[in-house]
Amino acid sequence: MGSSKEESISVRQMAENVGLKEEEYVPLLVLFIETSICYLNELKSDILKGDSRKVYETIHSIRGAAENLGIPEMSEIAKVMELKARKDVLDGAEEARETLVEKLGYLTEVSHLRYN
Amino acid sequence: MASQILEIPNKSLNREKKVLVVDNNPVMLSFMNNLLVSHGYQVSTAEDGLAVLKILETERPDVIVTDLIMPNISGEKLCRTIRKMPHLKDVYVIILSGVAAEHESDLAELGANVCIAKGSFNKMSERIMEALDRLDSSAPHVFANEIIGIHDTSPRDIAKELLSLKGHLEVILSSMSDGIFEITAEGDIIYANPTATSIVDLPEEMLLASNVLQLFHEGDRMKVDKLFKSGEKTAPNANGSSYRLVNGKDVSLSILPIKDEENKIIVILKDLSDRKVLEARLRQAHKIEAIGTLAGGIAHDFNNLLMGIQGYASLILFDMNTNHPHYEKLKRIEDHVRSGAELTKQLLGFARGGRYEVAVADLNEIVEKTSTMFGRTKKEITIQRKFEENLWTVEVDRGQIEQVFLNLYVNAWQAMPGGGDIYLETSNATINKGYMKPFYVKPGRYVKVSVTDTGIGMDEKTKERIFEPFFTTKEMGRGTGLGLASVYGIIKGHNGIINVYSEKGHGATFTVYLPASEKEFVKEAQVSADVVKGDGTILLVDDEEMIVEVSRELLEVLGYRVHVAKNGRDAVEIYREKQREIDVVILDMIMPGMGGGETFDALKSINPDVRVILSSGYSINGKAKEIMKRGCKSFIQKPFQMGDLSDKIKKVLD
Repeated sequence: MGSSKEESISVRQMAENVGLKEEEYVPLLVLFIETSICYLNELKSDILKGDSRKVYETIHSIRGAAENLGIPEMSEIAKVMELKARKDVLDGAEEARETLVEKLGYLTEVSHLRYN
Repeated sequence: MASQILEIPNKSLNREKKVLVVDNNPVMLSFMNNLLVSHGYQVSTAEDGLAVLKILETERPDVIVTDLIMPNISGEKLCRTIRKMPHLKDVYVIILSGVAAEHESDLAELGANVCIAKGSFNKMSERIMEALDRLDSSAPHVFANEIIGIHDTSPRDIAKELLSLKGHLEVILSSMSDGIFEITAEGDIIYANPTATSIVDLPEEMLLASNVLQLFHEGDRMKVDKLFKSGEKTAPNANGSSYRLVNGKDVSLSILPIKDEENKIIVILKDLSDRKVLEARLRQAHKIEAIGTLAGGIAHDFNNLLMGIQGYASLILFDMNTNHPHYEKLKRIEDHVRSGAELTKQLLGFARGGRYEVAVADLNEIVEKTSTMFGRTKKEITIQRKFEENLWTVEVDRGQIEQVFLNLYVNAWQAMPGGGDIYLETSNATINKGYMKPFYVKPGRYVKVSVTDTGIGMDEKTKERIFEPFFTTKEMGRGTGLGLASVYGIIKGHNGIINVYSEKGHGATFTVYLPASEKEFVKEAQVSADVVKGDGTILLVDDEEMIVEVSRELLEVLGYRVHVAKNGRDAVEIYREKQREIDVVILDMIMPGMGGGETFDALKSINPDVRVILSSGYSINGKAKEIMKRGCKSFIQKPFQMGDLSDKIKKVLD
């Protein structure tokens, strides 16, 4: 992680990218993080169960919100996972999920640092 | 840039406008809420279609912004449902979806005013506000035929696949013959296939979000609720239970609980009403069969009684001078016995049911005979006949065709409650291709018979259904509705056609066409009524005391010696002992224990050339015919006259 200053700029930049003020953007980002934590937990058990339809629906939600908020590093991973799940392919799904967890962790730190 | 979008241009103008936003993504809901509130709109939110329908029970928003892919009731279904609700017809609908571009159905047809592709918040909010501005303009609202922001849409291939798969499943569900509901754990309907809507007689828009229990008759609701709450999977009609709907239909239920966190339930309904109608028809058919069997039995017993009367009348007449004051009266008794025997023949014909024995016949003779017989029983009817002299012959099952005309006369009689005329006309007819086309029969030579009444006539609807089985215009319990259906069946079975012409209040004409035959009709030789005395020994086998007595006397008067056996076993014993002496065996067909058929086989095993006359109150068809095929020499139907008996014995002895 970079310095607190850099991170703050980063969030502002993300907000500007989607046409929002930083103070408007951050609550949405927090909401995204909160719901995504739930979604990613659900995904873990759905992947274990091999329920590709459920995996598809859940990752579809994460992907949509990530696109709305202009978080391409998450939406791109989600997009690939979504495509595979649609075709009943769950190979690599757990690895992709873990990557998303990591990315979410980064976002959590960013929003946490800025608003603590 | 971004801040520009969130400026509040006409906040006061929008204060009155209510917007309902539907999306299962909380981020999206939160964003939309912020955006719209900041522009002065009153905003409410819902996470899925089911929640929306609940809100719409009490609220009427000006605008609904909805996602397409949502749990429970999808956005597509929600749009269609909204558009079918009269009070929501004018609500402004914006579809906001990441997959709008991939949607294969016509979005305008869904009833959406605007479709906006989801993307990043800045682009999306611009388009949403533009769309809402349109609402404020005086421009008429048109349904969307283009998607705004289509170039921003991502994984199109994925969505397309999803939607086509969903469409495929929808086609399967739509074409199923069972009704299918998907309900929430609380019993709210979130899906109903077309069969389900037709079983409950309610459109989808009224069903969605309503509670499934409301569809059931009050008395059955607790039972149904218990079934849903059991959480057990049940097979259709597993315990034979049926449940009454409020529309009066009976259904069986099959429950498939989905074991997940939402605990939804799939309910499969089968409409039992059709099955009940079929069961009723089957019961009716069994009833007819039972009546047939009963009628056959009655005819048999009745013929035995007539045999007694006929026999004694013959015995008295045998020695009587024709000038005797009682001679004519006795002859009248014989006539009445003959009429009685004709009636039982009809009953036997009914009991025989469906057997098909074709022979060359003269329809003039059949129509004459049947109408005379009918006319005797219905004095209020006058029968007018106009017969073609050189009528072509036909090849028919005489019994069945007699039944056809009798049914047509009965139908005509019933159409004339106060009496009237029945006009019978026969003619030869050559029918061309054009006329026959709708009837699927060959063009050519036909014999035409028309039966016209001057009765109440029929309307178009009745005419259309007149030949349907079980269709009757008579009140419950009076008509079987089988008469004209069997007429139609018999005529069709003879490669003929029947049609009806009628006008309400102006009588009806039924016209039958039967294919003409090249063969000549040879009238059956009349049995000689002359009594010829004979010589020989007869073994008389019959279980009926009265028949034995009268037949023994008749035979002795004719000059024969008679041995009597009261059952098959005795008959076999006597024949084994006295076979050299016995010339002819007169054998009753229906006897308790060893019947006529079995006795015949036993006699034949003693003497393969045994001469047996089968005697029965039943007709020669059926069992008697089988025995005849096994080598029995002759058949005599009770009641018989002395002349018939002497003739049959003489023929067998010769």
